[in-house]
Order: sequence, then structure tokens, then C-alpha cells
Amino acid sequence: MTDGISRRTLLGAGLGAGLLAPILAGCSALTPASSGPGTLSVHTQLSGAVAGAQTFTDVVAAYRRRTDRRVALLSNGSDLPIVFETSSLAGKEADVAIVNMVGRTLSWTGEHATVPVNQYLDDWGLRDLIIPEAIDEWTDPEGRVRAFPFTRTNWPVSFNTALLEQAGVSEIPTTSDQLIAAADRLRAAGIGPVTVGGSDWSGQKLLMQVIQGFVSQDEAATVFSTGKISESAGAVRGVQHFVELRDAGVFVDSVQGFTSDSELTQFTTRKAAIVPAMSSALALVSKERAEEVTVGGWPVPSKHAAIAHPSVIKSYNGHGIWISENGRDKLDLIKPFVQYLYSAAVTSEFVLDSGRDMSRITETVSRDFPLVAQASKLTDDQVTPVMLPDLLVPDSAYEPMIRATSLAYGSGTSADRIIDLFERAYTAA
Amino acid sequence: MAVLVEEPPVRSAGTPPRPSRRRPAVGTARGSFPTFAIPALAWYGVFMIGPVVAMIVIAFLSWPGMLVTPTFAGLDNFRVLFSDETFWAAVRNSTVQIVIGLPIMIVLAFLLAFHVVQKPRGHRVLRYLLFIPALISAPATAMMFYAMLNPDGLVNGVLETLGIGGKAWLADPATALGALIVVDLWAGIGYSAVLIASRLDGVDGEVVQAARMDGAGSWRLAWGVYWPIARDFIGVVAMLQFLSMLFSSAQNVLLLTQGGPGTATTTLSYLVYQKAFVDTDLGYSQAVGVVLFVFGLVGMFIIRRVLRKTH
Amino acid sequence: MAKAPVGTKLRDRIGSITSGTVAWIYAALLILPFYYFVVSSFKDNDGIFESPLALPASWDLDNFVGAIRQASLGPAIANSVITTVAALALTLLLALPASFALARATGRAGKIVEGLFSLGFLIPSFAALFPTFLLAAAMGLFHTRTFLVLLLPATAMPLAIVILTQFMRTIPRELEEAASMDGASAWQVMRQVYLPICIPGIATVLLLNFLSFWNEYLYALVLIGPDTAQRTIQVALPTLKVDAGTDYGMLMAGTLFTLLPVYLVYTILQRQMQKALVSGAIKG
Repeated sequence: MTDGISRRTLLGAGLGAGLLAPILAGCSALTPASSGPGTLSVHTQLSGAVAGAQTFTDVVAAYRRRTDRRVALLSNGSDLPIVFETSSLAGKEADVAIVNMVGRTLSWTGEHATVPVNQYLDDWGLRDLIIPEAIDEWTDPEGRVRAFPFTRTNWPVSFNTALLEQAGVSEIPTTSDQLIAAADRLRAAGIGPVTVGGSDWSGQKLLMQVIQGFVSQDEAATVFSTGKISESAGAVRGVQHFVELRDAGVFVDSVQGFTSDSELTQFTTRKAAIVPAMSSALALVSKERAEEVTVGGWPVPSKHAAIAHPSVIKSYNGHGIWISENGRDKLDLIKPFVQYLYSAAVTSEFVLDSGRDMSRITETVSRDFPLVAQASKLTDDQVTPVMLPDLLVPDSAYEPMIRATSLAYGSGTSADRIIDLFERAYTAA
Repeated sequence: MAVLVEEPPVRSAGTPPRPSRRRPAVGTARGSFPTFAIPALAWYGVFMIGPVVAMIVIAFLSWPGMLVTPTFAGLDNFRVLFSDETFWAAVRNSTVQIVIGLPIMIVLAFLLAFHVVQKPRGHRVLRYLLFIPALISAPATAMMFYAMLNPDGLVNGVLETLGIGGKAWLADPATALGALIVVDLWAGIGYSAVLIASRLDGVDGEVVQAARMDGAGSWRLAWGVYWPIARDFIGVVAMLQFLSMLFSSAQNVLLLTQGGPGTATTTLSYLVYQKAFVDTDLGYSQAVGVVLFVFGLVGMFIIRRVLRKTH
Repeated sequence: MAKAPVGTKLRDRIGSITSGTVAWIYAALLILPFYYFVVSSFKDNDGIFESPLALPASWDLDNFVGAIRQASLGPAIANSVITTVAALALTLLLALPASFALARATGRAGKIVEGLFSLGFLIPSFAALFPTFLLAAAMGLFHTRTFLVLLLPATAMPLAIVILTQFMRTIPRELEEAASMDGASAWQVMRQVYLPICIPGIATVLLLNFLSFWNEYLYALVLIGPDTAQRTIQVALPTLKVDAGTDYGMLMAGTLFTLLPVYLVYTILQRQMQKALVSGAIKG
């Protein structure tokens, strides 16, 4: 037994030393983010593999070097809102949050989890630097500007022309009849037609986009904020059209279980030919794939359409820079940081290095991201812009609605049931 | 998977009950109150018992959002619970997961253990391999299966070369829960087999010899000899795995499917997490927690009865 | 005794084939995923999905570098080491004196305390996650490693105490009485008499909990949070799965990276580990 013990102790010591070395080396990297009153903590969704994440990290690192100030970065993905709120409940939220307006975050200003930035837009000289429509979109019904609009986004539809040709489809479908025909050909060639994340927000966006093909923008606003599809003839037709497309096999099999992650993987590995996705996701498509892709809009309905061209969701609702209650006490730290982020140099860096579209007025156009450039160049003669409904859907209805739309993508769900589920998502909240 | 659980300690015959009156607890450390245990007790009380009590209290509150102040709600949460189809879907899913997964896991683990204990060729390699899934954390296992079960991943790739069509395992409501059960099985069978094998190792060689000379083949040996002897212990293993499947499914679901598609993979344990940290309906969430607790007790009791010592 | 009838002979033959086949099928089902994910760590998405079982074209470490950078896996491993080691130390610090006291306690108080600990397994883990978060917030320790280091030993108490108490109970009274007669205090008695005999028990507790603490996910996720400077390796890994299109090569590389430490420990201490887990269940 003693032999075993001493051998083990030796091993333990060896392992310990081997493991301690990197710890001691990286000690500074292990200091908690929010330590110290002079530190600005930033909770950002521009992190991980998302377009612009590396640029953001670089930009912040340059800021640290230049001003010798401490900035701590906390990162999350789509779970950022809930993590922020949990921290808020514990009184320990970050000073600044970088996230879009959706679901939960829509109630932040009202619940005083964050502060409106109207005053700072003027005081810090930012109002003239930002696209006015962006500021409008970020203003809530009470006239409070929720956050500084930072990145913006559009949601075109990407078509893999090489795959389409392989299936014998020579032109991108621009009407729903063409889309159904193309889907038939693609399926015959063993290629998936339209892939979308049926089970999460990406599928929900598409469904609402389809509905918008049948109603005016004002009517759409009413429908999405109240949820009463049945009271709008156009919206009902929209749902029926969606069912028609679904039952005609326009979507890949098992689409109701896909996520935005799987939809993009499917598209980039050539398993499916068509995908509606955010322009920032397009920035991540490889060059060789981008060469065979053309960007356009969602095919306009062949009958009863309320829009003239294929639709593309256009929105200024990308990331915004929010100031939290904790941040209110650190405005002297936040001001230079935010001003820095809105400088011309930083904006250009985002556009050129990461392919992000920014809400800061800029002349710079992305060169290395052909698809992003394509998407931003789509004119009103080619596509009709429709709204991103995120702003209108009440916070409490958001998650239930996503569950409702995932059921909508399942074959066998009738239009009536979809409408019913949709409406119940609004009332169940 | 590897959950710290145990059975209430069997009263050991070695410590004869000592009438406390005979020895005054003065001066010596051998007092009647375990003072040295107080730190551990305090720790345990604050960090484990405390939250459970809080869970029960919150179950009776209406707390519909992180930033909202809670108010007393009596039995409202439970009333909403029992009429919510999501809740019943979760009950159904958890039941299916356990009723299908647990017996398969135990039976296969037993067969595996039996095989290994016969010391066939390669049994050392087998023992080494069997244990590996137990080492792997939930995130690592989940990420591995996420890649394999991807519609264009390994599983479908293999099936396609065999000529069978692939499916979107995690995406199809018909197979999503099954996929999660498979993940549970993959991780749990090896671990259970190692545990059972250690018990089977202790079976008296002479009994086995006698049975063999009697003409017993493998089947009778396994089910007629080993099983009855190890039955009690296998019951312990079954309880361990039951608790693990019931309580820890939240992790796998969170990592792989987030309860979807629809409610196909929402288990009770995931529902607790989802209601707390996604929907932020905190009273409801803790009410489900209470139900889960009860479920656990009932299940343990049933397993205890089924796999009791028979001799 | 009569020989077994003919019918069962067939069943027996099937029986032995079955258990053997089951064993090797399961072994294959274990090895295949590992092969797949090791191989995928060196490929990109196209390669992974086109030819899942093919060997990679080149064995360069790009994916590993990418994964480590993107998910900050370096600090993450350091954090896992820190929290695990600290929590293990605290566990022993609490459990050893407690089992010492319980092993020697007479009377009802001791039995009650022991019974309390043994109820630990009934606690529905994860259901109490939200109240635990409230506790962390109340203590001002939300989003800190410290809270996790304080919490984990509490979860390990029941089993640790049961294992160690049983060890300590095996010590004959004479040994202890000899030591006390020599004038040793309770503390010294524990250190010089009980501790050495408990080494196997301590090793068991350490190994069992090393695995449990290192692999802890959900609590670490919620309680430590998104701070890359504090999060453990288990929390960092899933961040490689991204809404905007996962790079599966990097995801697999990251997974492989997180498994190395545990695998290392297992290969060196395989038998001890298995024994630890087994006695963990037996004691339970």
C-alpha cells in the first residue's frame, strides 16, 4: 500500500505542477470581470462565432491600449437577455449591454432595467452620426430611445444558383408558382429546396414574412402587435399560402425541427438550395460558396399579393448599445467608450473586416463580403422591404409564439390550427 | 449520469447500541453530540436543504418575471399546472423516457457485466472501454451527439451507405425523444455495467462451478444464478440511474433540443429549468419542481419493491 | 441432479452468443463516436458532412487553435482546475471532522445527523437551481467562482460522510484509547490515528468528486455566468455551438480538448477510479 501511495503522490505532484503552470501564467486572465470601480463591464452578443465578434474584441482591445482603461467583456449568444435579467435581479448586471430588440429586451426600458438614451444622444454628439430611421425604430411608444442603434440587418433570401441549375432551374424564382416548380425540380434532383430553422426564431420570421406578402404594412403592424390574424382577411390568406407552400414540398423534410444553425449548415454544405438568413450570417459564407450564390427576396405570391416584388426584411434592429441601471453610475466611463465605438474608423473597421451593416452613417462599403454587399445593393425595384415584427410582438408572447410557429412547420397542421395557436400565444401570456 | 446518491445506511451489526446514560459526555471527545460535524451540517443545511425549502415556498408564489415582485398565490400554480398541456406533455415524456430507457439500460448492463465477468478474451479491454462514457461530461457528450445526429451527420451517413434513409433525429418529433433516450443509454449502460460487474465479481466461484457442472449454460447461469444473487445491488444501480435520468435530463435537453420540436423533448426536469430561466414564470417552475420531487420518491419506492432482495 | 433438458441447451447457446454480441456491439458503439469526433476535429464542415468516416486530409491543428481562441478555453480549463481543487479541499475539510465525530458519536444526536445526510440523494438537483441562484444573489456572490466552490462540497457531503464514517468506524477502540492515554487531544487523535487508515476512503472521495465537480455543467452555467475570465471548461464548450452556423470541426476539436484532462487522469488511475465509483454505489 505504501508503494501505491508514494507513486500516487508523485503522480499527483507531477499532474499538479503541470496544471498549475498555465494557471500561474494566465493569472491576470482569471480575474473576475466586474472587479474594481474603474472597470467598465460590457455584456455583448457580438461574441463567439458571430460576424463581427472578432472585430469587436479587437476594437475593445485597441480602446484599452489607447486609453489605458479597463473594459471587461462578458459574452453570451441568444441567451444574453435572460442572463442579463438574472444578473439584474441579483443587482450585478453589466454596465453596458449589446443586444438587439426582441422579446424580453423590449420590456427593459419600461422596467427600469436599462435607461433611455435620448439625452445622451444629444449630449455626446451622437444624434447626427446615426441614421435617423434607425433612431426612430429604436424609440419606444413613449418616446424613449431604448439604446444606441449600432448594427443593422436585413434578411434576404440566398439562392444557390449552381444547385438550381443542376436541377434544371435556370432562373431564381420570384413568384410563388415559380418557387413551387423549382422545389419540385430540386427534390427530383435529390436537393433540398428551402431550408429554414422551423423550431426557432428564424422560422418564425419567415412565416411572418410570408404573411406580410398579403397585407399592407399598417395592417401588418396591427396583426403582429395584437396577434389577431383571424380579423385580417389578408393575414388569413397569408397563413393559407404558407400551408400551400409547405404542403407543396417547398421546405426540406423535418424542417420543423431545424434551427438557424442547421439551416445555415445545410446551405453551406450544399444540401439545400435556398435559405432566408440574416445578412450577418451571409458574412460567414465561404468565398467559394459565395460565388455560386445570388441574393434576392422571398418570392411574391402569385395570387392576391399586396406587394409588388419579392420581399426582404429590412430593419435597423441589429445590436444596440444599452445602458443598465448599474451603468447609470458610470456614465463618465461609458461616454468615451460609446463615442469611440461610433467613430468613423471603428465603423469602417466593422464594415470592412466583418461584413456587418452599421447604423452609423458611413460611406464605406464592404469589399470582401460579396453576399453582404449584394444584399445591401438590392433596390426597391427588385425587392419590397417588409418589417421585422420583433418590435411589435409583446415580450410575453414571444417564446410561446416560437413554439406555435414550430408546430406550423409540421406537415398536417391546418391553416386554422396555425391561426388558433398563433392567437393563443398572445393571450396565453 | 454520475450523480452522488446513496441508500439510507443499513444499521451495521458491528456497533452495538450503547445506552447513553452509562457514559457521561464530559471531558473526552467521545461525547454524545458530534460537534465536529457542525460545519458540515451547516454547509449542507444552507446550500442543499435551504434551496429545497425555498423551492417549496416559491411554488406557492406568483412570480411571473425576474424583475417583478412576487406575491402569494396559494395553490394557483398547481391549478394552472394540472390544466396545462405542456405539463402533461412533460409528464408523458419523462415517463416514456424512464419506462423505456431504464429497463433497457439495466438489462443490457447486466448482460454486459455478465459477459465481462466470465473473463472472455479481451475482457480487460472491454472493462477499460465500458467506463469511458461515465467520464465524459454532459456538454461533451451532447456536443458529440449533436454532430452525429445532425441531418447530415455520421448516423445518417452510415445509414445511407447501408441503404436505409436517414432522418432528422433531433428535429423530427417522432424521434427526438428517442434520440435523447439513446444518449442516456449510451452514457449509462457502460457505467451501470461496471458497477454490476463489480458485484458479480464477488459471487462465490463455487456456486458458479456447481451450476456449470449441473449443465447450466450461459442463459441459465446469467438469469438463474447471477441475477438473483445480485438483484438487490442491481436495484441500487437502477435507483441511481433512475434518479439520474429523471433529474439530470434537463442538461441534455438544454444542450441538444431545448425541449423541442414543440414539446416533444420537454421532460419534467427541463420544464423546471425552462419555466424558470426562459419563460421566467418562477412560481410555476418551482411547482413543477415539487412534482418532480414527488415523482422521484414514488419511482424509488417502485424500484425498491420490484428489485427487492428475494432471499 | 438431473441434466438440463435439451431445449435449454439452445437457449444457453443463444445466451452466450447474445451477451458476447451485446458486449462487442456496445464496444463498437463506444469506439465509433470517438473515432468520428477525433477525426472530425481535423476537418472542416464540408469534410465532416461529405465523408464522415474518412481520415482527415491533413492533421493540422487549426480547429484546435480556433476553438481555444473563440471559446477562451485556456482560462476555462484553469478555472475548472481552480474550482475543482478548491472544492475538493473544502469537501475534505468539512467531511473528515464530521465523519470522525459521527463514527465516535454515541446516542441519538449522531444517528439523527447521519440520517439527515443520507437524505441528500432525494434532493432533486436542478429543480432547486433557481433558489440556489437566489442564495448566491443574497450572499453577493452571484456570478463568481467562489459561490460554486462553496456549493459543490455541500452536494458532496452525503456520500463523502457515509464513505468516510464507515472507514472510521472500522478503527478499533484500543488504538484510540492508547493514543488518548498518551495525552493526545481529539484533534491529534484524528490526525494520527484515524487519518492514515482512511486514506483509501479519502482517495475514493477525491476521485468520485473530482469527476463530479469537473463535469458540473448546469449550476456552473447559471451561477458563474458568461464571464470568460471565470467560467469553467464545461460552460465554455457549448458556446462553440452557434446560432449563425456552427463550425463542427471546431466544436469537435473543442470537445476533444476538454476531455483530455479527464482522460489523462483515467488512464493513470483507471483501477482506482473504477473502484471508487463502485464503492460509492455500494456504500450507498
